[in-house]
Amino acid sequence: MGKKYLLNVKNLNISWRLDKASVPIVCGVDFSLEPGKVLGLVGESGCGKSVTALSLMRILPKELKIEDGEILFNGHNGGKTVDIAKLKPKGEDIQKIRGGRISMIFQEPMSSFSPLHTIGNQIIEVIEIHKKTARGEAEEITINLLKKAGIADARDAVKRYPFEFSGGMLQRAMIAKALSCNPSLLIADEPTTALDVTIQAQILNLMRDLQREFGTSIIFISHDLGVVGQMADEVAIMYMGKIVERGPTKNIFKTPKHPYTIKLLDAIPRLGNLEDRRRLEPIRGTVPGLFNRPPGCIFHDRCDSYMSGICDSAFPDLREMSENHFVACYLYEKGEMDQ
Amino acid sequence: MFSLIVRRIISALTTLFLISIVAFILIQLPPGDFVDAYASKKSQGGVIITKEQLDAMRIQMGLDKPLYQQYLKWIGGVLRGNLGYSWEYHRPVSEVIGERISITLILAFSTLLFTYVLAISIGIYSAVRQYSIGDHIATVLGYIGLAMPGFLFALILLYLGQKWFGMSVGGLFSPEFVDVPWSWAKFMDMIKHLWVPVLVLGMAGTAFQLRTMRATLLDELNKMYVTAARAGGVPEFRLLMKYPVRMAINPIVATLGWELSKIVSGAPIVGLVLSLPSTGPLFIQALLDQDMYLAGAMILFYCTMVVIGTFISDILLMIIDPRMRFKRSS
Repeated sequence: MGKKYLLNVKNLNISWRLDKASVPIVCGVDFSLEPGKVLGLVGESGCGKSVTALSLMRILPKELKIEDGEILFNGHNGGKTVDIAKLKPKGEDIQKIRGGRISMIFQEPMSSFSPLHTIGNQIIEVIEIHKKTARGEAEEITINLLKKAGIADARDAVKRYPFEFSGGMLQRAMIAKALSCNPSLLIADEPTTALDVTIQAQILNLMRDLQREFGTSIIFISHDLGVVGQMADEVAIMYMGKIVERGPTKNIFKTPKHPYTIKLLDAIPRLGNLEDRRRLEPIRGTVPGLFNRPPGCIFHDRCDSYMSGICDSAFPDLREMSENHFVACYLYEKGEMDQ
Repeated sequence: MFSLIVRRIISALTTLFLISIVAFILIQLPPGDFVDAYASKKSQGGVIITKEQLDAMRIQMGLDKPLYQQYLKWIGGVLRGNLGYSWEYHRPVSEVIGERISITLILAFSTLLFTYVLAISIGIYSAVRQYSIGDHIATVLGYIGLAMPGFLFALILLYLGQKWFGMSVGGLFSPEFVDVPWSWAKFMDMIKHLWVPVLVLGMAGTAFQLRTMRATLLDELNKMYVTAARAGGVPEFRLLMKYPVRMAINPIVATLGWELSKIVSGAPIVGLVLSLPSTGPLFIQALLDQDMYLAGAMILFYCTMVVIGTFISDILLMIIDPRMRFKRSS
C-alpha cells in the first residue's frame, strides 16, 4: 500500500485479565487512517469501541491488557513511526504523545474535569507540559482556544470551576483542551451522547469546523449511525470486538454488505418514515455475553442468513468488495454472489 | 468566603457558650459537693468536722447560692481570664493547669500530625499498590489498631519496654528533668519520650483514617477525570497528587475536628496509664474530688479543642474544595 498512514492498527488484541482466565474484548482489529480524514467507529455498547480507543493512548484500565498487535503511529513531525503498543504505559514516550500528538474527547464532559481545579488550570496544564510555555502565554493560548470553541466570555471562563458550566459548555472546553497542542489525531469517544440533541448539533458542527481548520484526523466513536454519517469519511462497524465491515461512508450507507450493518441501518428511526408507519426493525436477540462468544462468525446466532456448518466454523476474513470496502461474511466468500 | 468565616466564628462562639452551661450543670450532677468530698476524706484520716464548720465552708466558697448565680460568677470570671480557684490545690486554676495544658496541646497536635502524615501516606501507598504485600500488611495492622483500646496498647508497651529494654516508657521526662524549668535539653528529652504516648493516642485514629484514605482514593482512581487528565499527558506522580489524592483528602480533612476530639478525650485514660504530666490525670482527680472550678476549666478546655478542630477543618475544606466556598454564597 503506497498510501501514507497516520495510524495503522494491525491485529489488535485486548483482553480482560481475570484471576484465572482472560476474556477477549478486542479480537484482531485492523484499521488505518490517513492524515486529515475522519474514521467513524460504530457498534453497540460493549463491542469494544471505547477499549480500542483507550488502547491507542495506552490509558486502558489496569485489568485490560494489549495481548498482541501493532499500533503504528506516524504523527511525529520528524516522520518517525512509533509502535504505541510497544511503549511502556507509564513511560515518558507515551506521555509526550498523550495530549500532544493524540488527544481524546470523552463521553461525559461533566465527569471528565476535576471539580477542584478551574477549567483554565486544566487546559493550561496540558499546554505547559507539551509546549513548555510560560504560564501567562499558556493562559492566552487557552483563552483563544476557548473562544474558538464557542465560549463567549473566555477570559472569565478560565477562572471558573467545572460545576459552574453546563454540559455543552464543558464539552466545548474539552474540545479546546484536546486541540490545545495541535494533535495529529483526535479521538472522540461518543462526544455528544451525554448532551441534548440541540447541543449535539452545535458540538458536531464545531468539531467539523475545527477539524478543517486544524487539519486533525479524527476517530469518531459512536453508536449513532446518523451522527457518524455526518462526520466520517470512512466507517468501521464493530461487533463483539471485531470489525465486521469497513468502507467509505457512502458505500456503508448505500450498499451495506454485512447482515449486521444492514440490520443496524434498519434500526435507525427516520423522520420521513413517520407517514409510512413503518415499524422499526430491532435486531433479533441480544449481544452474547463476554464469557460465551459464539464459535465461528460471532454474529451467526442473530443472523437471518445463517448457514449451518459454514458460519459456525470459523470467523470469516475481511474481504475487499469494492475499492476500500471490506466485509467479513461468508455470504460474499464466492465474490460474485452478491446480496 | 469572608462572610462564611465570620459566620463560622459566630457559631463556634455560640457553641462554646452553650457548652459552658452544660459543663457547669454536669459538674454539679454527681451527689454531694466539694465540701462533702473533703469531709469524707478527712474522716478517713480520723478528723471529725462538724456540720457547722461544713456550712461555713459552703458559705465561704459560695456553694450555698443557687446554681445560676454560681454559674454567672464563674463564667464572668472566665470571660475576664480568671478560671477560679482550685480548693484541692489551694492555688488558682490557671496556675494548676498552666503547664499541663501546654503539654496536652503538644501531645494532641503531635498526635494529630503523626496520624495524618502516616494515614495519608500509607493510605496512598495502599490504594496505588492495592493487594500488594505492603497493602496487606497495612490492612492487618490497621485492623489491629482499630480493634485494640488505647489503654491496653499502653499497658502492652509499658510491659514490653520494661521486659526488653529494662526501661520505663511511661512519663514524658527522664527523672532528672521532671522538676527542672524548661530548657532545650528538657525539650529534647520530651521529644524522646513523646513517641510512646503519640503512638498510643494516634493508633486508632491512624488506622481509621488510613482505611478511609485507601477506600476513597481507590474510588477516585477509577474516575473519569483521572483518565482524562492522563490522556492530557500529565506524568503519573503529578497526576496522582494533583487530582485523585486531593479529592480523597476531603473526607479526611472533614473529620479533623472529630479526630482531635477523640485524641483529647482518649487522652485522660492513656495519660493515667502512662503517668503523663498532661491534663488527663489531673482532670480525673478533679472530678473525683469535686474540685468544681478545676474540673469546669478542664471541660471547657477540652470542648474548646473540639470546637477549634472543627473550625480548622471547615476552613481547610473551604480552601481545598471550591464547591464548599460557593455553596452558601450563591
